[in-house]
Amino acid sequence: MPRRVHNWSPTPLNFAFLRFAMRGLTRRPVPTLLVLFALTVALACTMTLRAVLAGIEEQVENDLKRVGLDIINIHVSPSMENMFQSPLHLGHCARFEEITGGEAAPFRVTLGVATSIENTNPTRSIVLAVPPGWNRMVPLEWLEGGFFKEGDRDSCVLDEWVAKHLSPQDSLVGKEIRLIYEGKTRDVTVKGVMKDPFEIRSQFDEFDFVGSARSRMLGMMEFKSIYVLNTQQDPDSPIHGAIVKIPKGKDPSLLEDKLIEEFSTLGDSIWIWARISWVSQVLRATNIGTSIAQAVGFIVLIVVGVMVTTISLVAIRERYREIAIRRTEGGLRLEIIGQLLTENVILSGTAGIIAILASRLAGTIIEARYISWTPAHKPEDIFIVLGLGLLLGAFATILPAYRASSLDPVEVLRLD
Amino acid sequence: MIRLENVHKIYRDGDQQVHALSQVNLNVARGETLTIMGPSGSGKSTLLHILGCLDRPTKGRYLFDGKDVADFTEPELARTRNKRIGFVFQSFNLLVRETALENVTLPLLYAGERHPTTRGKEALDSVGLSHRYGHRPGQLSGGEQQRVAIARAIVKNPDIILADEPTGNLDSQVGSQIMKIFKKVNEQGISLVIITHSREVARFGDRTITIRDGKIESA
Repeated sequence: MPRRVHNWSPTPLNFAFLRFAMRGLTRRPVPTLLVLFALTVALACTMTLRAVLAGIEEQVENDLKRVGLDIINIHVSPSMENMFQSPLHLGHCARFEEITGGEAAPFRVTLGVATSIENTNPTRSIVLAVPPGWNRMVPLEWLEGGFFKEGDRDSCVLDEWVAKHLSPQDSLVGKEIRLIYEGKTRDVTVKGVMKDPFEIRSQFDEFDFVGSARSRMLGMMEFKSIYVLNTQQDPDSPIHGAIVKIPKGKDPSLLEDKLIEEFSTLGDSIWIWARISWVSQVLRATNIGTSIAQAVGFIVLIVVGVMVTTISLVAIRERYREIAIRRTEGGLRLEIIGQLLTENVILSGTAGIIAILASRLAGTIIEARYISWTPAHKPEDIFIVLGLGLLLGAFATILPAYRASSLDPVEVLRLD
Repeated sequence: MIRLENVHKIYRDGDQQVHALSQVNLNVARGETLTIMGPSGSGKSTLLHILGCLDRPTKGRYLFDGKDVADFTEPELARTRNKRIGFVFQSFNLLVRETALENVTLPLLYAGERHPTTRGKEALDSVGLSHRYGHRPGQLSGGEQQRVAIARAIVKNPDIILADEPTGNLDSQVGSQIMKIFKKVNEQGISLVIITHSREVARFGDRTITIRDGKIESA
């Protein structure tokens, strides 16, 4: 006797699967809603978590890109000895350029005090003496004004933080401030105010998941500086460091290694690091959080999987009589399993779709109320969530469905 | 069409063996109506389940249309039940959430029938339920439910219908109507095997056998 051929063309049986499944779902509203709710919550949580975590990584990466990833920082290690007897001098810049093929801009660092011209609002700050081409080397964002030019001797540029401390209400651009550094007092004109590239000053005290990663960056780059023109010409003039802009197509990490090797004789007195190396450092910090959160998400899914399996087990047990009748009338075990699977595929697919919409909404609410970055909803997450939902639904059904299809219909109907 | 040769059915109950059927030899010819009588627990239902390919003999041979059922695979047994054997139970065994028409078309759907509704309606018409297509079992009387069950059995145009006390839950008047329907079915050449406690129903058969303690006493 020939076996029945299972093809999934739209025969009445296949449509009947859908109809049976829909009827099975709508006629048992309590287990259906329980499973739908549990699956939706689990999937929405997983998707929201993924979006929030992906948002952190994207935000950190974008933050770093905004301060330039094609730059190698070279500076003396922070000690009083190095501040006053720096091992670096202006002549080193030529060597930096030779090794990297890029462009080097030296800087000198001094601690200074800025006040208004009326000697009010004294603000301690770092004074960075930089060449006029500095603004070509690093991407700067301006609140107002711009960078000084060659010959702008008595001028300066302020970081946003400094400008706000000196004059909380009024603009300082075009006005004079008083600057005390290197033992001298100078009245200089403010040419521009630079925006904090991370825009985090106001949020830094808030608790957020990115806090730890961002504080690392903040420790490496303090945006509380005053920039003045460096007029040094003598190659033996001491400098506290330089930034080197790497030409396009070259790997900053490799050049970083070369520079470290070349200046190994200076030992720990200078630090050389490519900004791109920060990305991996910072992302490593965020990745720990990501891994923990993903593990939590995974546990939630397992718990929900067990819960849905239990509900399915009870729901299918209530249908033993129906299954026995189907078997008596010629339903194959595979067809019985197929029907029950179809029900849960519809249910978990619906839960997946609702979860996608819910996670978008949750992301918006979380962003508005709790975090300072935008959750990143990636297109592949839709497939992951739908896939997870279907997998979870199938996992929860397959065992109870297999058990139900294996029952002896005679026994079931007799007991009934 | 059906031939049982020295069939035994033994169940295990813990360490004990229960002989539900012993040395059963039986033939059912095409178009014949056989009624089976016997006290409760005598093995009538077990015999019916074996005849319906819902169970297999422990020993002996069951030949369905000349083929040994022991050689059938699980899907082949299902296909035989689906296409060649109709079932009518005392408790109707209808799907309570499906309509009368949906219950009747159920075997056709499993058979891959492309126009199950038309045939389903014809079957319901033939048992006088043309006005009950969309009713669920809970909305039908006992007699109507049994007629739906008969329609479900005949819709697949089977070789044989096995009925397990089909009038057991019905009053005598409705039972008599049901038997009339069975008579009509039999006139179409479909064999009938009916288990009954009622002598009246038994008289309806071409032949009656009695089972006691798993053995056929009289044929």
